[in-house]
This record gives sequence, structure tokens and C-alpha cells, in this order.
Amino acid sequence: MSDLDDFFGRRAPRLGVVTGGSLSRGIDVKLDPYTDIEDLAVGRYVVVDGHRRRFFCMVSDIGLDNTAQQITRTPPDMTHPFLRDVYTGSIAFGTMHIAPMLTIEHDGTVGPVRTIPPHFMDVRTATEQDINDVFGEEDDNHFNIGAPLELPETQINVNLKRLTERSVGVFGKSGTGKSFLTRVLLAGVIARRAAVNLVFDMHNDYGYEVFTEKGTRVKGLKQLFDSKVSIFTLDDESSRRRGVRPDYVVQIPYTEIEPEDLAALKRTMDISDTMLDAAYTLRRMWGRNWIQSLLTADADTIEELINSTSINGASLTALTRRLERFRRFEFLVPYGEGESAVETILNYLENHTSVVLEFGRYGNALEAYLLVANYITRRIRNRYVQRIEESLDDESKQPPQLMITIEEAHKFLEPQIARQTIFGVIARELRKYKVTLLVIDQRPSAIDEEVMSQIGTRVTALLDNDKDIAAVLMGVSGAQGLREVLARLETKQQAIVLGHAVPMPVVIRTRSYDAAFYAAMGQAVGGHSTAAEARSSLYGDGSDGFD
Amino acid sequence: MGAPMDEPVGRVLRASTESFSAGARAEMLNVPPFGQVVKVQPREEGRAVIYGLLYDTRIDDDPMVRQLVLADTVSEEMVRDQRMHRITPVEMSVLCIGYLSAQGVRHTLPPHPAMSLDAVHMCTSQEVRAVTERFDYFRLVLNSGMVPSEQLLAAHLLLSSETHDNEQDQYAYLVEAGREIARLLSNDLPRLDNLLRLIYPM
Ligand SMILES: Nc1ncnc2c1ncn2[C@@H]1O[C@H](COP(=O)(O)OP(=O)(O)OP(=O)(O)O)[C@@H](O)[C@H]1O
Ligand SMILES: [Mg+2]
Repeated sequence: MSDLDDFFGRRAPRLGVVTGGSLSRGIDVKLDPYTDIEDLAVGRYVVVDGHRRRFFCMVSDIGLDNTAQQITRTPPDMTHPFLRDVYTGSIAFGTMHIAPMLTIEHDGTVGPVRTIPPHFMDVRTATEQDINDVFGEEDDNHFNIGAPLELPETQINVNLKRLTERSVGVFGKSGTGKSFLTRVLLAGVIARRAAVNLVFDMHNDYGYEVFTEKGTRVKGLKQLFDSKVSIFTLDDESSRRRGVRPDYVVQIPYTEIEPEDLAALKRTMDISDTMLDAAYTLRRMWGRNWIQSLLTADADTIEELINSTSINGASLTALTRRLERFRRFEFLVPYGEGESAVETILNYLENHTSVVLEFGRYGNALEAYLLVANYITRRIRNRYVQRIEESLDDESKQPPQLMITIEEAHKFLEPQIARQTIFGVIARELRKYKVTLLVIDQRPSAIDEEVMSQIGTRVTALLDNDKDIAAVLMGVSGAQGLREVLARLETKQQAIVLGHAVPMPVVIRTRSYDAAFYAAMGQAVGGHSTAAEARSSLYGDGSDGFD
Repeated sequence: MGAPMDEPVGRVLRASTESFSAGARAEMLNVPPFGQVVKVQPREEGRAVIYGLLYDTRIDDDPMVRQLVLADTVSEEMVRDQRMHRITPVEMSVLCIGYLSAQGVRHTLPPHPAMSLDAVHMCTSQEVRAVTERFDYFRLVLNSGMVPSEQLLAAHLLLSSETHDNEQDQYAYLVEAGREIARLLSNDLPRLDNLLRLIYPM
């Protein structure tokens, strides 16, 4: 075909041969004497050339074996280079275990694995051609999020439609690149208009300029997409200090907070069921002013309340004390004025503008984060349900697909509260109402199992806790092999992508979030039609002092 | 070396399917070394060229030698004379390891044994390369009860490796051969280790 094909050849050098295995357990491979076992790595792709199709596989384990048990008791003298060369690969040899992921037919169609290759077929490293056959080319619906580890020139693309039509999870230990990965994913979703986003930005990571661990600056989504992204803030002062000119300062009137909004805070604020019951009673009795009234009530009012209702004194005091903590949240105001924050956010979303809500200093107060995210999401989702039910027969009247991003997701989705919070509901109801979640978490094992099973696409960086690994891989076929891979990812910028948006689990080096990425995004939104323009903007960025 | 390659090093004395012996005059210079690949060139059409490894060279005594060893002094001239005119030949024993078929070298015993007085030649480097390209005859050597198999195979491999042009190729050849031996002797590691040490390249 092309010169390149002639040059590289379609086949990579042989690594070994198939010696056994099964569809469920994976395939055993005996390595050739000349295959350097130290060059292999779990997570790499290999291809077995069957008679009628290629089997696309992932290395899931690497081992040592021998043909003579005796040799393990009297190991040969390996200081002799000759003896070493003879023994390795003959009596003592390397093995690997590979998990078949997909098959590629002769005509290039990719399908699920239903059988395995026969004995003694050649196993070789996957080539660029193999990867492209599986992951396709980047296009309107396919977005490049990184490259396979051993083939840095190839692209792994996620299917954006599939990514956004079910919930997405981004997992990994602290500092493994979750926020960077999320920015890449969000950028793809925004650039290709796959969905509109609402980001509850706990640590001001997504909207505007962000600092890396090394202290260099990288751009936020607002800087990449300008009019397609707007920044809202709960903490105007913090935003302005960081040079952000927010489009809207979010305030929430006490009068709008309902007892349901407290349900999500049960665990974090240690609110008991009786306290919650008390809140419902107060809301019924006092109406929208229930919080203010409670916080300003005098002793007589309290006394009367206890005597005239089923509320007991201890719960009431406890509830009051919890609500008092809200006083330090300056975004909570006594009464609402003008258009509410929720309405404004909805307007932006309906105009296909993504909203990043910065928490500023409140990002460190988990109660504030949970309260606000729940408050806003509950109302937006209700409006979505309403709007969609009104326009079931006319899709053009429906609001755009919405993806809501939350950090510390397990705090919203712990088993004890997942059924009561709006996030649990959204995660479980699938795509019916066009709202899905992008959850970011370092402790996936703390997320409710049922919720986890509904997370369609999981992107996970290094995890080292066995429970977390098990949680992320729950329900994934061939998970055993991935476990080894997952626990051995590098500490940064490497991840496994699995689930709905990719044809098979894949280990990537995450696409770098840098000037080249900004330039590509510029082109993606049509800002730059020629490479030269993109380049000049790239240099422009450089002089701005961006990484 | 001694005589030119096309000169026979001897003629077949006795033969069986598995081995044969060749006789030669006692001008020792001509006798191939232990482990060398030799071939029997049949006199008639229809019989195949047979390849073998020289595993033993025997110099029997004769009445003249018996006398001479008892003499007080043996002059140079007497030694030369004895060697030229001795009546028992130097006897070379060869283990058959294959033959030349229409498709190339086959590492199985030949269909017919060599015949008396067939000419026995040293193989040229090219022939050695062709015969030793594959290792299918190792098992035959290792399993043969009548030859000192480890010593023979080792000497043979060291000689054969020299037909490769450079040190790197020679090394690669020995490693490949070593791996094949390892495969064959995986149930007898002491024997394997011994053999490998014998062919360890210096
Ligand atoms: N795709 C990437 N491009 C460029 N740099 C990256 C990328 N991924 C990770 N990094 C580097 O790794 C550092 C940590 O990444 P990040 O802040 O995203 O981690 P995190 O998992 O969100 O951590 P935390 O749990 O503390 O929020 C970044 O500051 C950056 O230097
Ligand atoms: Mg982060």
C-alpha cells in the first residue's frame, strides 16, 4: 500500500507463541528466546494472528517458567554469558498471559471475542495499524484523549456521544492527574458540542487559569472556549483575586433551602433522621422562612415548639447547631432577589453555554460544596424532567444533553445517602432525562455499588487500594488482568479507560494539556482554520506565559 | 591442511547403516580431526552421498612397529619408512548423521550403507554449513551408544562454528545449538551443563 506500510511492514516482530489458555481465563504465551522480558509491560497491546482474524489482546501478566523443575534447585552459572544465553529461552523461559479484547476481521470490522486463536500462533506487538483499526480516527464524534503506552504516535479516541449519554467516572489517587484528565474530557465535550456542562468546581480547577504542581500556569476552559463557557462564582472575592471576571455571583436565599437539600448532608454534618424530621415539621409550620425563624427563635418559641409538636428538644438543639454553621457561608442570604441562580444557570445551559461554578474559599468546606451542588442540581434536574416530559414528541424543544461534574463524588453517593440525593437518582435513571454525571473521586470504593454499576465510562488513573481497584473494575469482563495493570500505572498522566465510550479497556498516556492542546481546541471550535493561524496562536500563548 | 579437498581422505573399509569405517595410509596429516563432518561419495549413481561425524581414529600396530618399539634407537628415516609402508591402514570410524536427498540434506540414517572402497572426503565449509544448518541430528549423536557423544558433539560444534564468518555469527550459532541441546537434555541437567561447558566459546 503506502510507502510507510512498506517501510514498517504490517507485522511487528514476533514475541512468542500461543501455548494454551481459554476464552474466560485468557491466553498463555511462551516467549521466544530473543524476546527480552524486561521490555514487556502489563497493559501493552499484542496481536495474535489467527488464520482468519486478528485477536487484539492486552498483556495481563508476565512470568517465568522452565521445562525442567530440577533447574530451580540447581540454577546454572549465569555469570557465563554463554550459559546465560543458552539457558534463557530454552530450559528457562519467559511467559505472558494475554487477555483477548477484540477481534479484527480481514475486512477490518471489529467485533467481540467469541473464540481464541489456535495453538502455536504467532504473538506480536500491536502496530499502529492495529490500534487504528480498533479505535478509529478522530472525527466529529471521536475525541483524542491520549496514546497507548508503547505507541506514542497513535491516538486513542473516545466516542463522545457514548461518553455523555451515560455517567462518567474519573478516578485515581491524589495527584494522579484527575483534574487534568477531566479538563481534557470536558474540552472534548465542549469543542464537539457533545453536551453542555455544569461543573461544580471545588478547587477552581476548570474555569480559569490553573497552576500545575510545578507552578506553571495552564489555561482554564473559559480561556479555551470563551463564549461557550461562563464562570459563575460563590466567592466573588476569590475569583477576582485570581483574575477571573465571573459572569454571575451565585447567592442562595435561606428561604429557598428545603429539608430535602439537607438530606445529602446527613453524613457529612451528622444530621440524624429525627433532626431531618424536625426540619420537615418546621418547614410545614413556618413556611419558607423556617431556617431564619429557627436561628432567631427565642427560648419561649422553642419551648412552645417542643410542647406542641413531636419534635424533641435534643434534636431541635442539634439541628439548630448544624444550621448555625451555615452562617459563615456568605453566599447564603436572607431573602432572594431578582432571578434566581438556578434560573440563570438554566438559561446559560439552554443556550449551549457550559457553566463552571467556582467555590473559591468555600471549596474547603465540604458542607458548602454538598449543599450547593445538591441545591442547584435538584432544581435543574427537576426543570429538565419537566421540560422533557413537555416535549416528548418534539426533540427540538428539548434542552441540550447535560453533564454535571462533581468532585469528591463519594460524599454524594455513599451507600447510606445515595438513595436520598439527587445525584444518586441521576446516576441510576440512565439517559432518560438527558442529564448525566461526571464524577471525580479518589475513593471509588466508597461509592454506592449500584451507582457505580451505572457509571458507563470509567477513566481511572493509579489506584493502590485493593477495594478501590475492585470497585472500579466491578462488572468489567476480563477485570482480573486489568487489576494488575491498574495497580502499576505510573503516578501521573496514565490511565485506563473502560466502558461505554471505548471499544475495549485501554491504557493511555493522557493527552498533554498544553499549548498544542489549546491550539487543537482552537481549531476544533473553528477559531483557526489554518495550521499557520493555530501556530501563531500557539506562540501567542507562549508569550502570555502559559505552559 | 594436508591434501586438497577433492582428494579423498580414505576409502570405506566396512559399513553399516549407522556407521562406517574408512582406511587410509598413515600420513597422518591427511586425517580429518575428531568431530569433523565427512562424506562418502558413492561410486555408482542411485546411492546417496552420506554425511557423518568422525568419532574415532585408530592406528593399529603391525609386526614391523612391534619390532621398532623395542629397538634402542629409531631414526627419522625408519619412522618415515614405517609410516609409508605399513600394512595395516589408519582406521577412521564415522557415525552417519544424514544424507543428501533430492530436497537437500536429510538428518536421518541413509537408505543404503556406504560400500567398500567408496571415497571418503572432508566436507568443505559450504557443505558443513549446509549439513549443520539444522540440528535434527543432535539426538542421534546424543543417543548413540557407540560414540563418546558429549565429547563428539562438542568437538563437532566447535569445528562447525568456524565455518561462520565472524565471531558474532559463530557465537550465535553456538547459542542456537546450545538451546537445542538444552531442549534435548532438559531431563539430564548435569550432562547438559557438562556439554555446554565444553562448547563455551573462548
Ligand atoms: N494530561 C496532563 N497534562 C499535563 N500535565 C499533567 C497531566 N496530567 C497530570 N499532569 C501533572 O500532574 C499534576 C497533578 O495532576 P492533577 O492536579 O490533575 O491531579 P489530581 O488527581 O486532580 O489531584 P488531586 O486529587 O490532588 O486533585 C499536574 O499538576 C500536572 O503537573
Ligand atoms: Mg484535582
